[in-house]
Amino acid sequence: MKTTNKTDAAGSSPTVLPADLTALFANARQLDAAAVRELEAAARALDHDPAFVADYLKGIAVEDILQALEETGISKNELAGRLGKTRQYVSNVLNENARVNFTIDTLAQFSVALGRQLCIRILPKTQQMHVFRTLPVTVEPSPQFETQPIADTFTTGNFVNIPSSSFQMKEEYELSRIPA
Amino acid sequence: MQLRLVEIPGIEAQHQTVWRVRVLEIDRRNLVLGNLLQWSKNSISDYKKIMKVLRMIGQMDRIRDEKKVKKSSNPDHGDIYEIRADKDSARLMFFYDRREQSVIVCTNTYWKAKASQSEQDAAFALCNRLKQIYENNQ
Repeated sequence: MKTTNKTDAAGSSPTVLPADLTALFANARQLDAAAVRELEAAARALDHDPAFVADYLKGIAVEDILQALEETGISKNELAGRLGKTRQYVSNVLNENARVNFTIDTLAQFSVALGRQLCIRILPKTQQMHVFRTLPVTVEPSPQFETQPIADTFTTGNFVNIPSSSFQMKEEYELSRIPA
Repeated sequence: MQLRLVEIPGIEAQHQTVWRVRVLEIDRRNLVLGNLLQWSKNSISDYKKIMKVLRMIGQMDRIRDEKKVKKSSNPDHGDIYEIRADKDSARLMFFYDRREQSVIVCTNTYWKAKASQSEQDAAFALCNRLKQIYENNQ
């Protein structure tokens, strides 16, 4: 668990803070080490709370659905039609309505209807999932390779006679990626 | 005046794949973590809802569900947002630092005891003032 001792420099300047803000910050509670440990323990407890974990994952799923709707231009009405459900049902899922049965089946139905894929894993705490973005690319064959033999292509690293057809290339999201 | 950004306990690397999520400190004091600790003790429902969104917000380009994150509707406030504990009272104000740092900077909190537009406006306005100070000190 990281502590608040680790900081990023945001800059410093001789600029004087306005008096009202000076008073505001002066009166703010400064967490001592014990208080930071309390806050860390509270956060750790969330990871052991199945209701919180489920609620968090529902939130992620809802955001993924909203993003898919935005990117594909599919309306909620159209999505309801694809699911064979009512618009109200879709709204209830997107509102994380507790009365809606939010199961893996539900997620699978939404992901298929949106043309997306569903990824669910149960992992050790020491492992993390990475998101890969799959980009369709087309590679044209290089003339200098066209007459070379195909043998030992992969063992020698001589990639030859690549057909000019589409294949998939994976690109990992970088942690520092700046969103559009 | 010294500004720095500090981490939030419970927001780990896997929650910050797109944005880093930090709290703004001025002269080693901040307006967020003390309240977060208080909520974790006295308003656990609010605390869980805020932490849920805090863990989501750094993983996505933006949160689209306005029950979780809402931009100030006052154009004078600029690009200022609040994390909402939906159906509860806790609010956490923040802004995006979209420059090379890619940071979500949390500045202050607000407890919505009643439907008071002026108090909410004041919280957004405070966040906007802190954003100006932050940007002027980069």
